[in-house]
Amino acid sequence: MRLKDHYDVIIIGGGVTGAGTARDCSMRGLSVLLVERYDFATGATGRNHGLLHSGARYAVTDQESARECIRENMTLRRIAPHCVEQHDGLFITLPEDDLDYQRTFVESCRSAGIRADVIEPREALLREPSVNPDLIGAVVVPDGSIDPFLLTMSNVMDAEKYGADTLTYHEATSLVIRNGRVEGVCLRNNRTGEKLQVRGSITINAAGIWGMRVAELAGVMVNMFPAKGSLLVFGHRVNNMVINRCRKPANADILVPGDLITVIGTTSDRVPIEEADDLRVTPDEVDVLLREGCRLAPALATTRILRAYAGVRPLVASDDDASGRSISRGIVCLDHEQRDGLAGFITITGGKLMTYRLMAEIATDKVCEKLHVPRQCETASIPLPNPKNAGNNMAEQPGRPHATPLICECEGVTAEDVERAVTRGHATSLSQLRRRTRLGMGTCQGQLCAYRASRMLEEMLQRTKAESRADIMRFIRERWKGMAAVAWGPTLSEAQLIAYIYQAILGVRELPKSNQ
Amino acid sequence: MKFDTIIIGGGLSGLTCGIRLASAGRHVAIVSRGQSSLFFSEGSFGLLGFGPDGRELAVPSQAMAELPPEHPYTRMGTERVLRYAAEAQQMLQAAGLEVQGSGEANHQRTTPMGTQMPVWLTIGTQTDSADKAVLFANGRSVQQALQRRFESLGGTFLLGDEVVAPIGWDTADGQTLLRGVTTKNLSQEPLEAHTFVLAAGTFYSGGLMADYYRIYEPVFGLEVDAPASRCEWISDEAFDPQPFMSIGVATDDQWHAMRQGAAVANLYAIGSILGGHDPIQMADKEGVDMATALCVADTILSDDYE
Repeated sequence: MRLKDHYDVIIIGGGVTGAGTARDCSMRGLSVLLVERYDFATGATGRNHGLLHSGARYAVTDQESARECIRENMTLRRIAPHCVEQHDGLFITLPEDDLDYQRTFVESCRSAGIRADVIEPREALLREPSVNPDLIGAVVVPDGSIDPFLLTMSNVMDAEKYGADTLTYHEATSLVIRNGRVEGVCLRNNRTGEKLQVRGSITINAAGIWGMRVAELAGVMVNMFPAKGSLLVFGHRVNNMVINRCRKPANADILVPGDLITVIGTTSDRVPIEEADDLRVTPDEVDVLLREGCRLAPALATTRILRAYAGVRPLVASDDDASGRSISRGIVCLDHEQRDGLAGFITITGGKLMTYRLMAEIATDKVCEKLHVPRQCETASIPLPNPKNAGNNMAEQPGRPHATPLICECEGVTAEDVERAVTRGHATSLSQLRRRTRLGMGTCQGQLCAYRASRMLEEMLQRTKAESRADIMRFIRERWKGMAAVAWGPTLSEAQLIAYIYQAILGVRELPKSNQ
Repeated sequence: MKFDTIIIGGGLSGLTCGIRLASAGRHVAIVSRGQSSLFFSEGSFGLLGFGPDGRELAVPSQAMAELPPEHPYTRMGTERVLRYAAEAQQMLQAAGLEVQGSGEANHQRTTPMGTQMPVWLTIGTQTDSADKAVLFANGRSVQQALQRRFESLGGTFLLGDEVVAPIGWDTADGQTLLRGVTTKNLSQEPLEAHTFVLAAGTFYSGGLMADYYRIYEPVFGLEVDAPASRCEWISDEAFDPQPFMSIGVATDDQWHAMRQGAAVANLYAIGSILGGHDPIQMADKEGVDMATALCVADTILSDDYE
C-alpha cells in the first residue's frame, strides 16, 4: 500500500474503537490512517463475552452507562445485524440472593429506558430450560450476543471503502512532537523491523489499556487501571438466552450463548500492565468461573470446556484521583491540548465494546471541531457491510451446499472463506484467519484445520516451509495456553492429540539439540 | 466365551501382543473400540530418537543405559529391547508390510512440514512426504495389515466393542485375579480368560481419563502414577515437555497392573498406558508399544498353566 504524505487523522489501535473511529472519520471526509501493532481485534476487543449488553447490568449502579448501552444496543441491531444475535437475556434471582433487589433493578432499568419484564420462575424455565431450576425470580431484558471480530472487520472494511488506509503489525514507537503539537507517528513494522514515519494533523490514541503507554510516548499521563477479566468457553451452546444474576455485579455472573458455544465470565482483578501482553487464566479463576457458572446453569458442571481466555479492561480513574477509587466504566475522551497543552493529540478510552460506536463519534466530533469540518456523524444510521459478502458471488445461504472443500469442520470454514480472508481481509497468518473466519475456534481447537489452512497460506502467499512452521507454532502456542488452564476430560485428550500430530508426525517442534 | 488371553485395545501394542500369542497357538481375543493412535503414526516408527537430555540420537542404544529408572526400557535392559525391536520388525514384515530401517541405527524421515526426524522404521512407500495433503494413509494400512495377520493366525478381533467393567475379582493363595470382563455389545456374555492384557492406550484412546479432580483408569480402577494436582499435569507452553505424556498405570516388575495396593496376577499392562516416558520428547512411542507387548507375551507364554 502506498501511504499518503500527510493524513488528517492517524489512529493508533486496531481494536473495535480504533476501527469504528477510522470509519466515522473517513465517512466525514477526513483522510485517515489506522495503525495497529499486531492484528485487528487482538486486545480486549476479541477477549470478552461477546455480549450485546442491554445496559441492565449497570442500571442500578450507573444510569449513564445503562442509557448509553441500551441506545447503542438498539443501534447495533440496526446497523450490524450480521454481527448480532437477538435472543434476550434473563436476570435471575437465586435463593441466596435478595429478591427485594429485583424491584430496585426493574425500576432502575425502566428509568434508563431498558425494557424489563418480570416473569414467573416457571415461565423462565420454559423459555430457558438450562437455567438453574432453583430460581425464585426472573426478569427478561433485551440482551443479545455480538461477534466482536466480525464487527471490527466490518468497520475496517467500511473505513477502507471510504478511503482510509490501514497498517497492521505497525507499532507506534514515538510521536513526532514539534512546538507543543503532535505532528506524526514513528512506526516500526513488527514483522520486518523496518521503521517509518507518518504525518498527520491529529493523532488519536485508541489503544485500549496500551493507551497508557501511547500517552507516555506523548509525555502525558493517563491514569489507567488494567483490570483482567477471565472467561471460559464451553463446547456447545448450553443456553439460548443470556443468563445474568440479579444482584450487584460480581464475578462470573454472566453466561452468554454465541454461535455454537457458551461463554461464562468474568473475574475482575487489577494486574500490572506488563501482564496484559501475555495473559494466563489461573486455576483459582477457573474454580470461581465454574462454581458460579453452575449456579446459573447446572448443566455446565458436565459440559466440556474448550478453553479459558482473558482480556484487560481499560478502566480510567479521574485525574484528581490517584488511588483509583472512583474508577468509571464510562467513556473518557481526553483533549490533550486543553488538558496538557499538547495540541494534535486525543485519547479515547474507557467505555465498552457496546459503546465503541459512540466512543468513535465522540472522538470524531472532537477531531472535526479542531479541523473545522462541519460534517455530522452518520454511523448510527448507515448500516455496516458484511465482510462475508464482499466480492463474493457465493454469499452464505442457508441450505446451500458448500461448493468448496471444508478446511475447518468445527466452524464450517471453507477453502473459499480462507481465500477471501487472505485476498480481502489482509490475513497472512493462521491467527488472522481465525479472527476473520473463526477457523480453529471449535472443539478440536485447530487440530486438523491448522495444517490444511497452513498449506493454503503457503500456496497463496508463497511462503516457505520454515515460515509455515513458525506460524503453526505461534497458532498452537496460543490455542494451547487456553486449553492448559482447563486440561481435563476431552480437552486434555484433544491437547494430547494436537501435540502428537503436530510434533511427532508433522515435525513441528523445537529444533533438537545437535549431537554433542 | 472363554479365551486363553483377552487383550483390551487393538492398537499397535495390542496387535503385537496378540500376533505373538496367536502364533504360539494361543486362543486370543482383542477387543477394540475402533481407530487407534496407530492410525496417526503415518507408518513412521520410533525406538528412541532423542536422549533424556534432548540430544538427537543416531544410534538408539547410545542412550538406553542413561534412561531414568521409570522408563519401560530400563526395566527390560538394552539387550532385550534391541532383541524385541528386531523381532518386531520381523513381525511387521511377516504381516506383508514393506519395512525399512533397523534398531541398530536411526534414519531420517522428512516430515510433511519439511523437518527431519530420527526414525527407527519406515513402513510402506513414503512418496514425496514433504508435500502431502492427505495424512495418515500409511498408519491405516499398517493397522489393517496387522489386524489381518492376527485374524489369519486364528485370533478373534472384536471390532467396535468396548470393555465396560470387570465381572469380578478372585483371591487365591494371596493373589488377586481378574475373573472376566463384560463388553458393551456382549453384556449378557462375559468374556473370560486365563490372562488379560490392558493395551487401551492413553487419554485420547480412552485408556486413561482425567476429570476436574483426578486422573484414573476407567475400566478396572487401577492405580495410576499421576500428580494429585491438575496444575501439575500440563505445562501451558505447548512445545515444552508435558507432564501428562509420562503418566500411566502403575505396574510391578513383570508389568502386572496394580489395584488397591496389590499386583493383579493375571492382568498385564502394555504400550502407551504405561507411563515413565514422554513419547513426543523421546520419539520412542512405537518401540515401547512393541517391546512391552513382546515382553509380556513372552511372560504369558512361559507361564504354562495348562
